[in-house]
Amino acid sequence: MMRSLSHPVHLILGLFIWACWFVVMYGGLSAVCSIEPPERGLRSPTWLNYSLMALTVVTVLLVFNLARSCWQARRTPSARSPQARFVIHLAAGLYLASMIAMMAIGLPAALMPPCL
Amino acid sequence: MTMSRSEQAAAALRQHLEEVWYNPRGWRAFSVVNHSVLGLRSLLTGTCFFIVGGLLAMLMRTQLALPEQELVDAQRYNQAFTMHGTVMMFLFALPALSGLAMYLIPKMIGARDLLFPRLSAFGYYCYLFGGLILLSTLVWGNAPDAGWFMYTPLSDSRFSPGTGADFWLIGITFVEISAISTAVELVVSILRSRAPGMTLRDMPIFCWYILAMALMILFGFPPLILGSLLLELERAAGFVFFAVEGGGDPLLWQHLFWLFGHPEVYILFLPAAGIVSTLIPVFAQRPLIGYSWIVFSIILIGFISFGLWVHHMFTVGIPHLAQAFFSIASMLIAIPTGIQLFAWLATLWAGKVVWRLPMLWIFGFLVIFVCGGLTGVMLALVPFDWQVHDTHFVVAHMHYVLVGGMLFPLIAGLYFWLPHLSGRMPSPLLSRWAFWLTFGGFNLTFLLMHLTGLLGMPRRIYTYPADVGWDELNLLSSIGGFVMALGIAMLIVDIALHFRFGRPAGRNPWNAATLEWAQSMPPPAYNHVSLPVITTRHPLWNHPGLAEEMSEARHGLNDRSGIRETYGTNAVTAEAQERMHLPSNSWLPLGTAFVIALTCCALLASLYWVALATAIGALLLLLRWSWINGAHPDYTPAALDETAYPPVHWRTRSGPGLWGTATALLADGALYLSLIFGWLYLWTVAPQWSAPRSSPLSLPPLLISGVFLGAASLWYWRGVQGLRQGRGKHWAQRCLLTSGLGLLHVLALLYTAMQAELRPTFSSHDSVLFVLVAYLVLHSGLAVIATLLQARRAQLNYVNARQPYEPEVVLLLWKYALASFWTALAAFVLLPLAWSVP
Repeated sequence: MMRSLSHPVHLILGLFIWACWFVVMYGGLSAVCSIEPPERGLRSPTWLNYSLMALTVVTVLLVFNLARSCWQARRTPSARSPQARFVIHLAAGLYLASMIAMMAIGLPAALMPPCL
Repeated sequence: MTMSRSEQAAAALRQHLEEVWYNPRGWRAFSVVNHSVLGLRSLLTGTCFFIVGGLLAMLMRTQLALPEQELVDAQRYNQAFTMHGTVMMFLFALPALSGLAMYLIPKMIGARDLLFPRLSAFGYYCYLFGGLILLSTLVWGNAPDAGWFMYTPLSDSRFSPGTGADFWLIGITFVEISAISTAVELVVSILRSRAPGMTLRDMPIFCWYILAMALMILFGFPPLILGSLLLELERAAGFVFFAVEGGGDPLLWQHLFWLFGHPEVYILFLPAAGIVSTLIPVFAQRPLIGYSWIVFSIILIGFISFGLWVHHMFTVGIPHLAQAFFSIASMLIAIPTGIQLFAWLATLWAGKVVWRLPMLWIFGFLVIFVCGGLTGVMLALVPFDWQVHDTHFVVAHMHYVLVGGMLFPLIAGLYFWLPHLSGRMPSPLLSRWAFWLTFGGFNLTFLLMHLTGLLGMPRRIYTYPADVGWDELNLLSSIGGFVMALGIAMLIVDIALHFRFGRPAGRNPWNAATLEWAQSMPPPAYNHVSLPVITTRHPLWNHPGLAEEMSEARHGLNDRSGIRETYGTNAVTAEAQERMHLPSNSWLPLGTAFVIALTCCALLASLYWVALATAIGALLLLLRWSWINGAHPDYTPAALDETAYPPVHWRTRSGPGLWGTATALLADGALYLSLIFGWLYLWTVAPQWSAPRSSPLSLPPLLISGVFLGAASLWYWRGVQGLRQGRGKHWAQRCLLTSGLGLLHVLALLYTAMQAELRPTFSSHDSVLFVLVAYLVLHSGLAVIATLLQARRAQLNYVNARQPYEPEVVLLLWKYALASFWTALAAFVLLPLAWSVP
């Protein structure tokens, strides 16, 4: 597992998770507001806000875990070659960036009415 | 003076390579597949289209120079701005940058050509013919007039009854085939044909940018291709996707368009930024500061730019919370862009900057692009966007981003690589005048346009009254436009004249570090005489004698094999794995593109039988193309040594075709996902969506069809496993049986569709199902035909256990058909069924 962290797929995995999260957030919000808007959909917080926040927290934790794994892998034998170190460092940064993007974009879900 | 033995051997090798890589002249030049020739043709063709787009801009600026002018009427003005935007975005910006990438990438990564030369040629001709089809509307007088984003319902057959919109939809789709071809080509070439030892860490930074751009094209263009197909079906055949009364929604078009349109801005910016990241270290004479940070930014932009598209739709009535998501994402994208900017500034700060001509254009880029970026952040704020939406402010912002972020770096790059192409230097006097006129004229035009927009002038109006305070600003903008045009004209004259009068440039006149400068100038068709092992980002700085060593054939692939070849290397470790055997000159790309162009013309003329006949002709040509591969004697005229290491790619299991097919299927998958998105969107959002209580596609025959498909795929997969283990005795029979099962699947699918009695001209529900069935039949049918061809190739001994490569490629088609079928069943049949259960 640690060895595979030097695989270039980790350069895109975090942002791929971000993209999926983004689609579910936007798609889910739009679908719910169209089909079954919450009773207090013009105010916040509603169950939809809580659901979006929960999704964000879970996804952020998942990506944080991956970022931490990459960070810890810096000093393992798998990171001995310059190429491996390059990928691991970059992947750690990109996981972190994905996490920050999720927190920033997800923040309004805690504050704004969902279907206004 | 007598030559030493090694010099004689090198000269003989060069002579041999000249013969093998010969580019014919005269009318046979249309059969050339070499990347340098095709890259330059794309650049030249793009420049011609740019001139047309520029003339249209001049027409618009002349019209707007004074109030209440009637130089052109509203109709002509609408055509002018539609064609200006379309030509600049689709026919100039991307093809020119792709052309530059096609020209440079193999040279930079130490390869002899791109990995799919015939695809390069096909892509170029698709671009040329698609562009000519679109441009012909200016001659016929039926140019599209619904804006370059062709919003529905304005572009539907009620409000745009002529053929202009059809020309746009078909012509642009044709051009987009070209973009996707080029993207597949670039992705696979960068990943699989780098010089041995050139790991991702040592790749020239330009290659990172181009890799990201190409991958973005694969995911960004399919939504628009789908949208264009749907809109054309609606216009020509009366299907319903965007018309509210049939259960469609015009906003679906906006989503599909901007899912393409916003990433497109970054698709244009990234290669241009790649030019900047390449040039700045050369003129600062030091390595780029923050290489890893820049790669980080490129990857981040590649993803985040797909999460911004709704900021073009802030005024259409989307919930505020959703707008907030896109607003924040739009602001976040400024961070990776800023990282690059600071890396460039730091490199300039730490280096000893040589102020040569390309740096002037880099300076222009930095100033203009930063301004464009700042107004971009302003527009990301929803309340501000509401105020200036559809005003000249947005037009000004867009031009600051695109001209600053794409045109200026492109010109910097042209001047930088011009000596590489011609062996001569540009004129210092003319080129400086060209820069200052362009820079000054641009700012005069568009800086003031921000103010015109803030004063409330809407975009796309052909004239305005004299008493609203826009007169002086518009006049100055128009003067600026003409000054800029003068600068561009001077630039073109300078470049044209330099081929004759330019001072001769020695090898590597800028003291650059990358491998393209290791060649003689102008470069030979085969690029490098021998291919070195590269373990540094700056091979020519760290190893000054490398260029001579390469031309003296002291590095790899220096034997006289008689075929066009380059190294195939591992995508991650960059170890040499194969000799990639590349095809020679061919008429197939031109012929296929020409027949597809005939199909497009027949569709535009409503000659549907002719369109069907030419489409079948194009399919036959494509099959012929696929036939001349691997061990086919026309592809491999010479007997190749089976024991040679590395082996030729078609004797391995991982040649470029496998990577190319997988990459193309990514784009195909993006198109399919867009269709699913369209289905779900209409289902949940369209105001008059109506669906029957149960799906018209009956479940039992669908399941039977799926079982046949599963059996075919499984049977084929087991056969491929046998080939991997050296068992290929009954391969032809296995292929025949697989094809039979696949055919049964297709027939069952068609039976289901006919039983369903879909009425696509009445409801969007049936329209989407119709397109879905066509998509599935097309993909399964393709797998059946490809497998039948495999059976024949096995009989001819082109495919066997020692040459197991092609079955691996066809296996991907079966896997894709299987995955798309079961996904369709889940999303289009089972999900609605589950939803309707009380």
